Amino acid sequence: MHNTGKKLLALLFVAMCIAGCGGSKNATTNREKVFTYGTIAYGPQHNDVGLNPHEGYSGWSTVRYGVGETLFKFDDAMEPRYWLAQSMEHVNAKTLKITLKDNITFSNGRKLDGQAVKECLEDLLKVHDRASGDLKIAKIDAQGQDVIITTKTPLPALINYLSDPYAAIIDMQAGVTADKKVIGTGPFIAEKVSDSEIELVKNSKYWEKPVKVDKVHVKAIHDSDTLTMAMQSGELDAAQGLPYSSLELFAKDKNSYQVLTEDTSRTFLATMNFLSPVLQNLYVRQAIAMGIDKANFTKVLLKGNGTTAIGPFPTGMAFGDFKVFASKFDLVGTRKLLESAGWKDTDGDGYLDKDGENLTIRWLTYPGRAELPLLAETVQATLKQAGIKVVVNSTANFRDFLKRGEWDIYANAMVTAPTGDPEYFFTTMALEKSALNRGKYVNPKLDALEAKLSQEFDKNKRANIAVQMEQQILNDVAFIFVAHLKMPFVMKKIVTGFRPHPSDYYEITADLDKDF
Amino acid sequence: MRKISVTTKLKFYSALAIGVILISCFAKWLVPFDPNAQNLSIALMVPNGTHWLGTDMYGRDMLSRIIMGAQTSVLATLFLVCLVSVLGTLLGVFSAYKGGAWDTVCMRMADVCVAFPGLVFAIALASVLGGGILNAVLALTIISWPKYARLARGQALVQLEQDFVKAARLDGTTGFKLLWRFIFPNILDTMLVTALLDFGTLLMELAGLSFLGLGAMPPTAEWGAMLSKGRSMIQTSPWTVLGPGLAIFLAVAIFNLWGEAMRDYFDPNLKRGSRNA
Repeated sequence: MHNTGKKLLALLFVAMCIAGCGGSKNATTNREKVFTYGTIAYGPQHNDVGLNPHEGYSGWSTVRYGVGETLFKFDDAMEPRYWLAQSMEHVNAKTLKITLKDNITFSNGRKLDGQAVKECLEDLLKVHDRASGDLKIAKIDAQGQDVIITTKTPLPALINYLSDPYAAIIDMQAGVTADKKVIGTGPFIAEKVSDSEIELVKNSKYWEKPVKVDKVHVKAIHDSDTLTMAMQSGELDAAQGLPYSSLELFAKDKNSYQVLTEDTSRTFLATMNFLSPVLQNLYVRQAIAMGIDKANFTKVLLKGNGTTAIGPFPTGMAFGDFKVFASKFDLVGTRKLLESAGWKDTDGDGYLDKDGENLTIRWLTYPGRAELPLLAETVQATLKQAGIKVVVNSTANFRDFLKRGEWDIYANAMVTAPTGDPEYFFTTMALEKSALNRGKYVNPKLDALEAKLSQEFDKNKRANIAVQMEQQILNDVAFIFVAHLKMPFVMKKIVTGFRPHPSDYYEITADLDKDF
Repeated sequence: MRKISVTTKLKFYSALAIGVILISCFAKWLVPFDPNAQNLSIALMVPNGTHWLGTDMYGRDMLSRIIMGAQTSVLATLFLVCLVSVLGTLLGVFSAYKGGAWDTVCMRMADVCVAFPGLVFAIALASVLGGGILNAVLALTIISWPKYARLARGQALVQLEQDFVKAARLDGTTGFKLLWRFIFPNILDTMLVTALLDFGTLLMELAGLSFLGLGAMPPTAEWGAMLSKGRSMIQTSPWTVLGPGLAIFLAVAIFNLWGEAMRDYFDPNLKRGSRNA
């Protein structure tokens, strides 16, 4: 009996040892390489849940996580280059012939040909909310490996729009599953998709090159502090969207982590409300623009993870900041401009007033992007020195305030050139009929320039027109551009082949690898 | 070891609590620096001889902001506690005295208000009304008054059955005079102790709303808002959260202990002898 007890104890001990050897999902079993990736940029609030590119912004997830690919891909200068396409030919101003590479198959084995692309793009135009307006496609024809696209009007930016993740090519015959999985041509195949997680396995038949990791787990972690701690605990191999204040934790531990950053066209900008009586005066708008200390905001509050903005586009682009000018930070100048507009501090309360009312600006923003409330508060402090009272409203409920018009300046973050082309920003934000012209800014000169831009195919001439348009909105102070952000990625030292891209589209690729 | 008397405890904690209230009232004159003045060149400075508790991300003096934050946090909580306790007590006592439809309507309103999860309701209300400390106080008032109304009603019903109240009624004393002379004085100690014990909870709830961005608005210094701003820097600049966190902890502890001392003082089970033992 005594011996039996000892044997049982020994057996229990061995069983416990074996159980203890069992690993988490993150562990490597049978030399299987599993890459775990944490991100704040996936989930219902970003409208990118699932992998169906024809739905909202889910195309970003399709391309970001290596499931789908587009006909063209942006290079580091945001110029479209061939990806699934082999070559192209402008048949005339409205017709583009694209020839596909001949060696590509979807992950289910179906060959990629013109018919597959036609089926995919036709569904995109039918169901997607932005694509038909952007692409203006009248007809698509398929002949073997060729796709012939005819647009309703000449569309110089067609290739740029075809590089947008919504145009990722998926097998429409396989369709979209109930849990939003699709069959693409990318290096990974979706196994499981939910609102908070994506599980991928490698596509062993990937057309371009061998895929190095076996599995990828993408985890949505929306609290940036939780993301930081998950990275520190070793639960994640890489993380996107860590707060700038956490980066130094990883940057100083060079033996364990690597921090990579990339300049992007994601811009902090402030939109002026032209329906607000106080902002209808150009001097007041100029004074506010002059009273924002962009340099210190970028250096201290963004901790150098951005560049001071002048216009909507960063300097790396042909139509970027180096081509335009705006007034510099000058509080004395701000005060002078306001005095010219008739604002004086008559009651000695430190704020300028006119007709018995203080110069008050309602600054609307949202806390979803941690640095926007910081911008609001620093603007509040500097403009106070110039005699402007800024009332900050930083709320997750900001859309209601926008709808009700209860704001003077709205500050947000926006990717100003998601397709590498300048036209998107103007057509979306600044024209009389723009869907997101929240401030109701109207300038016929700008609309006339847009008419020219929309017909111009020559890149240099397009850039020149874009610069004129930028300068126009800067002269009118319709927007104040504060900073272009850098996108930081933190990963373990053992991770290789993860390269941030200015477009923010390409993250998980066939090159991704990790050492044991 | 000699036991500290209830009266001594009450005096000690009263002194501490009054001290906190006085600091809150005179914060404007006690701060070493302008709590809202930004100086980005000294952002996130570690505690030193000039800035005893360091500076925040805008280069504002943390000590000055914590002292000024006491004004927002403590005085707003004091206002909130007074509001809910007075409002709840009045409604509860009138419900008990009037009875009938008044009682039914008042208590069903209380049921509706307590049916919502407290803080979630406050968040929803503050979201609709917008941010700001006054809106946060209003939101918490709506969910907090029923507790006092129910307690006061129960206490008043007991008092209304007492012989001395019946005698007063026979003598022709009715209405406000009856409540003022015979009911309120006899339930005051219970309501006071409840209010003091609630102070800490309400201070944390108010700080919680500010932490979520639904309370004090920038640049107002408020402990919950300060914690929220500093939390992403807890590992790199811990002083940005330790200061306001410690301030909340101390204020809540002092007011809770004050409430408990007050409860012991009014407890009829503790004889006069043991109070002074």
